[in-house]
Amino acid sequence: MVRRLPSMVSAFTVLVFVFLYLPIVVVVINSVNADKFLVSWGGFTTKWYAKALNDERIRTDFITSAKVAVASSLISVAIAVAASLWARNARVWSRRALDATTYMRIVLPEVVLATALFIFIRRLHFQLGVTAIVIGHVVFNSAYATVVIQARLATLPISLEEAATDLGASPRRVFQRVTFPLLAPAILVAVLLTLSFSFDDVVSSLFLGGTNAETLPVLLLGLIRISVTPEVNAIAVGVMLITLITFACAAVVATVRGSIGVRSTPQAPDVEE
Amino acid sequence: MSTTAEQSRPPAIALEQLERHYGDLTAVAGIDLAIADGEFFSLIGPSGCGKTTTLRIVAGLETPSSGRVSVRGQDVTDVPAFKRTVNTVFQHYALFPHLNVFENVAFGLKERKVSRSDTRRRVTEMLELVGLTGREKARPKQLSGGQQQRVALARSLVLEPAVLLLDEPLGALDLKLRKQMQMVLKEIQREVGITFVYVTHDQEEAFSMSDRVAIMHKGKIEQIGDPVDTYRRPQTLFVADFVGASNRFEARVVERLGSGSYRADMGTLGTLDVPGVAGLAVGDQAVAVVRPEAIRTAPGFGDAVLDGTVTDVSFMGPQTQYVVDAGGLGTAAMLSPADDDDLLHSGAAQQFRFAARSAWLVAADPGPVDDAQ
Repeated sequence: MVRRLPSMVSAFTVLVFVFLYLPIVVVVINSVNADKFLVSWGGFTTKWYAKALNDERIRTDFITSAKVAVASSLISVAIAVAASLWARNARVWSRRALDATTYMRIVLPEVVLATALFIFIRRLHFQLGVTAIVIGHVVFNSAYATVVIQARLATLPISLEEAATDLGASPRRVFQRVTFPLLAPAILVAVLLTLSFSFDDVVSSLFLGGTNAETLPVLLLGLIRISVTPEVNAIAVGVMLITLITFACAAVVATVRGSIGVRSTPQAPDVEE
Repeated sequence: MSTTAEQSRPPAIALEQLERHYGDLTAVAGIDLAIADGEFFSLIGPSGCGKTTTLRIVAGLETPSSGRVSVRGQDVTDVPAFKRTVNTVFQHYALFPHLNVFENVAFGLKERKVSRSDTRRRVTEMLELVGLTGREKARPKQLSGGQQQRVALARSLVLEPAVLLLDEPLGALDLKLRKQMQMVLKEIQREVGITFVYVTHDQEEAFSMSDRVAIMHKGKIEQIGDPVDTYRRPQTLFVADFVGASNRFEARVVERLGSGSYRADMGTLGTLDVPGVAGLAVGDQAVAVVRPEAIRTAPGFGDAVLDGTVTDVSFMGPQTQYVVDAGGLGTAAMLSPADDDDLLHSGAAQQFRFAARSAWLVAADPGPVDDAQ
């Protein structure tokens, strides 16, 4: 019995992974399957990718997705840096308030946030579209970015900035020469993370895009309602690759920055998903 | 250290009625202080006495609740830290981890827009002074504690400040390195001639380096003076305790003898003529402070005799410390040079002696000494 238990556990584990990843494998395989109806393997082809790339709508949606990702990422990180720096010198209660809103934005279901924002925007007679999607993404992205930046800031002793001040640097110069360079790795990680979160978001983009703007994941959702064409598989793989690559970059930066090291004392654990 | 320069030039640092409160907490409770140009001055006291806060106020990193700060005669109370001509060596060095040694030392010069060639020359000179030539490209993390300390020192000194503030700069080093760095600091201070204001809780360290020391207690300065004077003639019981081990014997003033001496009734020790602080009145309860090294066992030595039993012997190399149970007089400590032929053993009953003029009379503490050390 003692020996059999682990093998059952590992069998179950394998099963879970198969369940999780098999669909993705199927999608990847089918994206290069020459069989139009995807019922059997019809040989290797890249024509679905070519077709997807030549599709005007897909290209427009890709650009929309990219715009939204870049804009929401940069705005989110700027907010996160400002909020984190402010929180350091804030009173305990204000700091707790910031933490509460940060975690609320992460914990609350996205549907709730998106619905609320949708109603709010309509009430204000503000147009749905790219800007609205960006705002929607900033809501959760700024929260993730704040967590990353704050974790980094916690490992930086305030005496570094005091030393810079003491040596004659004005507050602006202290930020330029000390705070920002020391935060840079965390800022990069935050940018990459938020880019990938934004790029594969469906809910907020769907609610807030209206008829004016459509992102790639939203297009995908629309397409699979009709039928799963080989082209859909190609787009899905494309979205997946973009997200994966940014995420991998974030992971690499996070590890490399650990080895560069900022303090001689052991570092606090990095907070990243 | 009164020099002629002191009279003609304004003090490097002058503090007037300086106070700092945090809510109900008082960190600095009214300090008046003038530190002369070129002086090595130490602020010492137990942790929480306000010495670091005082230093940070001088640096401009902390705002005083009231009072004025002047540097070389100029009021800088409202001048922001980055515009002051004082620099700080921080307790944990606070070296910039993303910059190498050269860039760390050049940091302040860059803010002052010193030319490239001048920067190179001054940084090189400074690194030579602190003995770090050849380590320009190293990151702070790659340096030992002592080397980091030297970089921190060079980074501040290269700006030729009016005053260098040092906040427990040797606190993180081990004993041997600390002793070595004390010598280095003192040498450098002599060489560059810059006023040093040194904060430490270690009175021995302060005494060995400073021209003058100020002993702080509960946000106030208890005594300012040169180390010898402070050690021999403490003005309060707190100072007597803080600046080294002391034996205390109860005394009552029976007569003022003039020239700073008193005739005091010291119970079983008899009536002795003891020097002491000014201002004690006949009938005052006082404490006679006797340093452990002033107590001897040689027959016929001194004029005060106490009978006691040795309860503990600690051999410390150059000297030996004895703890003596002196019956009704309490316990006493005695320090003897190690070459003393007849080392006493625990349990030995003996007469212990000291000269009345080596004792020092201070007013008995009005309240309990709650936070000494």
